[in-house]
Amino acid sequence: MSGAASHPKAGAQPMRVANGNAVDTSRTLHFTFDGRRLSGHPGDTLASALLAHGIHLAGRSFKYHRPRGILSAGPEEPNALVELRDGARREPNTRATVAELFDGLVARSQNRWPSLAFDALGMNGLLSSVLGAGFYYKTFMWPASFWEKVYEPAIRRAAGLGRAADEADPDHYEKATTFCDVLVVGSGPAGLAAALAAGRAGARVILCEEDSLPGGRLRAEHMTLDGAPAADWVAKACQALAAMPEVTVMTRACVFGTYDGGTYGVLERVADHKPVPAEGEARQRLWRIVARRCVVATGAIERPVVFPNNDRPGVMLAGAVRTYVNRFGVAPGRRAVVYTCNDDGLRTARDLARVGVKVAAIVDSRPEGTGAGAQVARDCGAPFFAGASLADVYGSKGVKSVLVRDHAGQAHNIACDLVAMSGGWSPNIALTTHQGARPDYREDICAFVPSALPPGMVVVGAAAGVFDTAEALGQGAQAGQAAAALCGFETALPDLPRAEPASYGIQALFHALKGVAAAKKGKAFVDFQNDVTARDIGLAAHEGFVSVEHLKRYTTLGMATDQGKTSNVNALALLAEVSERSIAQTGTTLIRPPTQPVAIGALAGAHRGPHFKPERLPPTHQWAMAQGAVFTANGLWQRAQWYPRAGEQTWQETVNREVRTVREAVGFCDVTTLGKIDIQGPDAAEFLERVYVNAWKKLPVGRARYGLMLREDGFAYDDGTTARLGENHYVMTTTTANAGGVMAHLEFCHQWLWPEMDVQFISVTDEWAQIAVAGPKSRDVLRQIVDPEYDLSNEAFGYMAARSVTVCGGQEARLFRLSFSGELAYELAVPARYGAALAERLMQMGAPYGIAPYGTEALGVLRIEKGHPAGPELNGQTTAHDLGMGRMLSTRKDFIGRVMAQRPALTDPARPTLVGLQPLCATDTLAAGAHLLPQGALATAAADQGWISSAAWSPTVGSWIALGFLANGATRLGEVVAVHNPLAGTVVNARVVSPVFVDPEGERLHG
Amino acid sequence: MADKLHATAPIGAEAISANGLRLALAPLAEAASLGAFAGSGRAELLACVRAEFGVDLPQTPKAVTTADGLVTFLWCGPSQWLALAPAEASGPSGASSGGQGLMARLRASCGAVCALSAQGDSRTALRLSGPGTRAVLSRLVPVDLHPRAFRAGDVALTLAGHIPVIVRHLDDQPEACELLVFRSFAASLFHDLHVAMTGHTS
Amino acid sequence: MRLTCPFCGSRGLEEFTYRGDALVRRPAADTSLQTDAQAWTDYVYLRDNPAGLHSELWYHGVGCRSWLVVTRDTRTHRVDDVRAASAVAAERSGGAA
Ligand SMILES: [Zn+2]
Repeated sequence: MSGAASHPKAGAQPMRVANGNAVDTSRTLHFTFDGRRLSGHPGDTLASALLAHGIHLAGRSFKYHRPRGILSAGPEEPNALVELRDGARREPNTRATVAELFDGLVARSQNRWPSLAFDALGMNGLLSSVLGAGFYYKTFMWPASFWEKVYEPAIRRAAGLGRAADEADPDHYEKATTFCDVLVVGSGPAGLAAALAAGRAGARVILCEEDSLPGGRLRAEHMTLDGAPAADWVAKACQALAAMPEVTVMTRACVFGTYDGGTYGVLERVADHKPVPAEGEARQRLWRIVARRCVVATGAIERPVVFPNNDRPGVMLAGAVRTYVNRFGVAPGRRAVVYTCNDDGLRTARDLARVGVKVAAIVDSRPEGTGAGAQVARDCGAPFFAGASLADVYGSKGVKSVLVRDHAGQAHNIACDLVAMSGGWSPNIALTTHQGARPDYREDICAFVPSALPPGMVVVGAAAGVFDTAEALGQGAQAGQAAAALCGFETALPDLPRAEPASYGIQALFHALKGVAAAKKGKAFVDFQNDVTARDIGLAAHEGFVSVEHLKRYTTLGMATDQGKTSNVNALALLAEVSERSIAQTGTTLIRPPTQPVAIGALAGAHRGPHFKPERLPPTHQWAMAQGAVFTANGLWQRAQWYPRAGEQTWQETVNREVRTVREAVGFCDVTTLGKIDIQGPDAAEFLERVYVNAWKKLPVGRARYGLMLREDGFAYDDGTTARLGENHYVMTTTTANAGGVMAHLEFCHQWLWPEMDVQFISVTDEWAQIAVAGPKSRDVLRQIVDPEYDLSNEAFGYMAARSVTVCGGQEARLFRLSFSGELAYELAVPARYGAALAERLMQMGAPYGIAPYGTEALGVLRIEKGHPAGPELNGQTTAHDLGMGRMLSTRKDFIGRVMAQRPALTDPARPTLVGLQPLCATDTLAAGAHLLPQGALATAAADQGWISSAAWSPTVGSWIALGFLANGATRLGEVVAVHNPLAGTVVNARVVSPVFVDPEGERLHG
Repeated sequence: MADKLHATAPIGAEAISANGLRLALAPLAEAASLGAFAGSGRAELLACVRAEFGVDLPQTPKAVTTADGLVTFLWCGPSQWLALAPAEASGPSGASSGGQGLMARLRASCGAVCALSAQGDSRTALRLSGPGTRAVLSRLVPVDLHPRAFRAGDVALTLAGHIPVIVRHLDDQPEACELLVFRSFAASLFHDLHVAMTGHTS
Repeated sequence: MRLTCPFCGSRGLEEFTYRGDALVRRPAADTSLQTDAQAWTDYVYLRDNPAGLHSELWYHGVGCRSWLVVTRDTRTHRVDDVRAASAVAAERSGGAA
């Protein structure tokens, strides 16, 4: 093969200059950026592939809409935020520097407005009220020719970063918890050495690497370990780790937070590097890792230098330039100027020269004679400026030249298309500060290092301010060894490779400005993502915002999605300077989790949509489904709300029919959801005495009683019936809503208040399918179900009787004569597995009596008609007195809430107490929540005398009826009050009546 | 005489298999909770159970099964145990195992020294087995399931997602765990386990 | 945050519910059922809010259903001690007797 056609890559990726250690150039991937078809290779990021094409311009800045390029080669990237993918998987604000290239990737720049003249006027109208006049003119008055250019076809939207997908996320997310002895965060030299040491000791080790490949800076630098390329040793170390059964290496796994108790949050990007996750594969997985020890080896983040127009596309971090050269085989420019304050930055000049990039100048802020700059410049054949600074950058969409001010103040204009800058390295210490520790400033390395660490954590390598590779390897290995030993796993240190020594020799350089406020010409950026300039900091300080916390909020510095990873230290240095303090005195803001953005989908995991929370299904659920029931949620429970029949037009019609069936014949309803607690023990009766307001000791075996519980503050808590099944055996029922809470309450009373009492509790809510059978024909039906040896006559089994029986030929069951509806009624309990069969049998045997199932809606109507309080009445604000049960409170024993319930304010007759309400016009609707006012009074809070708690249309009364609480209610029967419903805007006149609308003498109940 | 009532399973599907894993209902014939009464009740209960069943009630979160395999006792709290008689463990008589007999045996042997409550319908047992059982469970259960920390016979009272469960490690060859869940939650737990096994959200 | 239940071992916060101060004492009910209003107000409503070690009640509701007395540093969430509430209560009444 020969000729141009055989080298399409050379033409397609002109800046691909070498074999990167992580890129497979034998295969080509295709992608588009803003519609332009481009190519790259496996191992590329979107950023490296763009740079391979010579594309720096990746987006527009947030506030000033300035052209922005690729600053970094990692997760700290503030500028190159792009939109990835299409349709439902479209994802905004992804960093091009960590987005792995895949075939068919569709990427777009953000913060531009592609539909032009048509939308411009609309936007004008939308935004004119929020944008200043200056902004308006600058944005909209450009010449028409502007729109036609390839990279400037748009104006920026004023705020916002990219577009979220319009459709629901189609992907699956997982959450998982795992445990280990030693968690190692980061797989650079220190992290790998730590994992090797802890792993060989036999400890359970998890090594988390946020990148797609392990190695950290070992992949980014041109360096050797044991005389071979460092990447070779990385591969060997990974092989060794893979051979250790208790070591797990997780790549694409970002440890984003440190939490209490050795808990770490980790986001694993399982399939972000694929167009679509594989069948059954999660897109992302949120790990909670609980680690006994943690070795933080998260490396360091290089700082930009603040100088005018330092945000121009083509101005990059020096270390990132080396990453592109060494890892990806991409030269980010053809003529480079290196600007540094340390020897590490000088490596960039060597690496660039090695791949044929012209080094146009080395600008070293350090004075002549310090550092290795002169030697490196000679080796690279580059002009060298010691004690110099960069004063400006020319070119808008790319660098054309820079203005160098030499040590004598002389200006030199140097043509270049790439600026590689290094302000030194900031240890990446976020995970060490999540629990509130403020880091210490070290003058010798011009950086913050961890101070007090969370329990179990150590920090090694560059994250601890150790920038020498050999030292980092040794420190990592020792930390891994020590961490394993603390978990009981002893071992010798692993063999470590020889590393080349490297000098650092940093001298502080945060900005190249002569006085912060002097940067009048050209913006000198500190925070690229939030567009905060040196002048903004000077202005904020001038206006008195000299606390770092105030500065941060006033300028929004460090508050973008990158959390100021590249900007925080520079900002502190500038603030320190203008407020005439040291950096240490100025201090830092707190860094909070997560260190990287975490998608809501990952936090939700599989619990989304209809599975956001679990459902509890009563034993008759499937049966009710087959009956065509309509369901409603009652907490987690799904309950049949009503059972429509053919021909019924509205739910009201169905509910009316169900209520009438109970009042006139017989109905049944699954009430399994009521909490049931088995209480046994020699002190069971005494225990009930103390948790209920009323007396229990004299309740005979075989009887049930209504009980009311208070909270210790004297307000009503819960109610239900409790039956005595044996001498020391009771079964308590609670409301559905409070079942769990009452259990916790009983355990609290027993374990904490009265540990001397001998009593045991266990929930039997799920054990028994409990079905209420209610209505004048209920006894007739039950006689067909309960085995004939049991006498169900009123004399033998009267109201509030409770006993074990057998049903349907020997099936063990419990029968209670309880009534919530006011009718002759029973509750029959069978082991839950027989619940559905019992419902079928009731339908079958009850058919001659006109039986029908009823749902929670009819249940509600029936209990309102009977004046039984329920959740809306026991709402936590009402007392026994309010509920008309004041006389139930025993005066002869102690019980929970006894003392506080006697407070005058809780027994004041003027308090709203339970009443019934019936509109003067039967068809006038009453609604729960409506306020009760004296007739004719204005609807003011001062005139408010109470509220309606429950309301329903009563087919029995033939009218709307309601329960409510009315001041001095007991003395106002017969009075007419105004029922004000501010939501509906209605006022209805209603008569105050007894809350018992049906059978006030209780004849039916006892029949 | 009327026909006997027939039993209904707590969930529709009885078993599913995916990715080499199997999730199946493990029906209980009978189960009962034992709550030791105060004073000497605890020691007496231990002695009674040892005399009748030949095993010591575990004092830590573990399970112990009788030599005949008919009954398993699970630690359920500082003074509470759960006795399980699985439906498939068939007794020498071929009759329904410890079931039918379990509660009667417990009443006779230790009814005087502990609170006994039927729990056979309160709890549903789901069994997950096959390679990767621990990995699947780690997507729902927030306790350490590593073989060094959770071995055959170990029990954890905890959560599976949002659902309270009792997890019991049954075996490592092959990997198998049992989850005891309140019957009303069984369908939701079955769904959540299915999702954890397959990665499908439906 | 994690708590080590004395019965179940180390567990995540989601298994527990918080109740509050373990130092407040329910006033004893004497036989005449006389009451000291101030003592009750203190018990029901008044709580110290220490920056530092705090003795507090937690419930291992989805675990073994034990109430626990946890000694926790409110500034750091460092947990120094977890004991069964029933044991603490038994000691308390034993000491008072
Ligand atoms: Zn526990």
